[in-house]
Amino acid sequence: MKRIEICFRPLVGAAYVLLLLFAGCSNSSSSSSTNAGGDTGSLGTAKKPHRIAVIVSTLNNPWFVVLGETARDRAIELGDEATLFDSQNDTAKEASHFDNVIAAGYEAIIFNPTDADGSIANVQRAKEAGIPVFCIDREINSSDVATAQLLSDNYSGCVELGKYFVEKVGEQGKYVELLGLVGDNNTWNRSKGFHAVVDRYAGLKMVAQQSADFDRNKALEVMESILQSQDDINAIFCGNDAMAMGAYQALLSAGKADSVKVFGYDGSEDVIQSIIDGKIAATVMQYPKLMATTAAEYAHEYLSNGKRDYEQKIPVNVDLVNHENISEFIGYGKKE
Amino acid sequence: MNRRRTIYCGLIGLTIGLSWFFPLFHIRPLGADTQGGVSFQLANNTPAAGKPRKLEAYATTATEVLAIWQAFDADAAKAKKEFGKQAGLGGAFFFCVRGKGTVESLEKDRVLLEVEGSPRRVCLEFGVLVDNTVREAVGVKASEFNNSQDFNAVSSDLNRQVEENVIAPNRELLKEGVQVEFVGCCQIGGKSALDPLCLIPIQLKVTP
Repeated sequence: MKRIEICFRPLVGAAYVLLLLFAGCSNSSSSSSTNAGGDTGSLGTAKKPHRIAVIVSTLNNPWFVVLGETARDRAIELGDEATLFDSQNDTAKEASHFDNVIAAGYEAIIFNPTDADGSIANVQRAKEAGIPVFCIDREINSSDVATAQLLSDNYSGCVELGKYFVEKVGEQGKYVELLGLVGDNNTWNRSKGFHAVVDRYAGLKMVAQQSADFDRNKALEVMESILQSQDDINAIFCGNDAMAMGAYQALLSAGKADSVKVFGYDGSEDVIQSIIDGKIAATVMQYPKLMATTAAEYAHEYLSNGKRDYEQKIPVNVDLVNHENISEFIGYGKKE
Repeated sequence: MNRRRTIYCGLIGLTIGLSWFFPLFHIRPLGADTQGGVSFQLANNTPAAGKPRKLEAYATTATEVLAIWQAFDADAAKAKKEFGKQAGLGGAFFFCVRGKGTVESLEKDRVLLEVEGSPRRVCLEFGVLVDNTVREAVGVKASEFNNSQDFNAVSSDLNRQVEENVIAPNRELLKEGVQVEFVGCCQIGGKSALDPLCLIPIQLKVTP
């Protein structure tokens, strides 16, 4: 009996190894055929809906909620299946989302990265798995890994904001700058666009420049601390609207809300209302719905119609919003 | 013994079953990514942040100002598409324009020119340059750069070249009545921007 068992074990082992190999081969070919079916499907009438993952840096900021939900909803409108993932501004969570999305067989990713350099590896892995990635709003520092990147023209927006800043604050004064995430190109494009104008005026002195990570609560804390040592500032330039609202709250608590002008960036609903109310001086309208909708359409075209000739980096127009033209805008876009 | 064997076989069967539905790895043929139309279209450009960009090279691509005016009079939308470069999605149209004119008047930061063959005028902007008009009008593309900060740095560099090499040496030469051959960049939103057509000069030849 023992002899039979000794012979039986290697045979079972060998059969198991063969079956494992066969399972891998079989699954690979079925996955390829699904992809091929997706690519060669007739115009917009693929039988099976394509699966699209929308991975967003954070859903803790209403602007990104609009970005992610618009992309997801547009994909669904186009007949695709879409799921929204929140990276919580954490590169490790983002990497884990990519692992799951790749393993689960998603066919395209609409991606709002957490880090211009740190997120490249994730996009590379998706590319190696045959999954196109469409970046929105935030950039990765590469021109050949993502399929396309739709990015707000932040530099131009902040040049316009800088001009308006000088017009409102004057050529003399002290100001504070609150930066966003230091690993994000948007932070520096906004800052550099603003300084391209403001630094031309020697009378305008920046008395503090600090990061508040695009976060409203952090901006409140940072500004409260800055106001303890700088009590004679004229203005605050914030790299996004969430920080502008936090900064305004700090000014309000310090009794300086009427004497200090606050400038934001994004075009979020609360800042649009604050411009109407005279609390915030100006912002720059990015168009998250336009970016998200276009990315969902690009992904659909890629999967359903085989479109491949995307411009690698596509700047998206932005507009200065202030008290003079506020009637043209609503939160996250222009009035219809 | 039979019971042990049954359990043993059962476990093997279960493992095989699980492996079938959840394989530990996938085998893909080499080059699978390029089959069935699932390959990526790599960008046909390479990072070019360090590439020197000289204004003179761009000046040769400019359109005659009279042709621009004529095209806008006929069909503004068509004129934008034919002669303009759009800055990204939903962005403005930028133009690179050339022509000849005579200085009509001078202000602190701009010079007004009468243009031969047209009742319309051109104004040359001589103030501080901060925006992306020159970069957009000459057609530098964001896709040429890995990093948008490098793309924006090109704008600063081109503006600096204009201020140092075009505006500064010509400011004193421009007086009423002198002849000017110009190449300049502008954004044209609508017909109201056509007279005067305000340009950031990227090349000037002044004849006293």
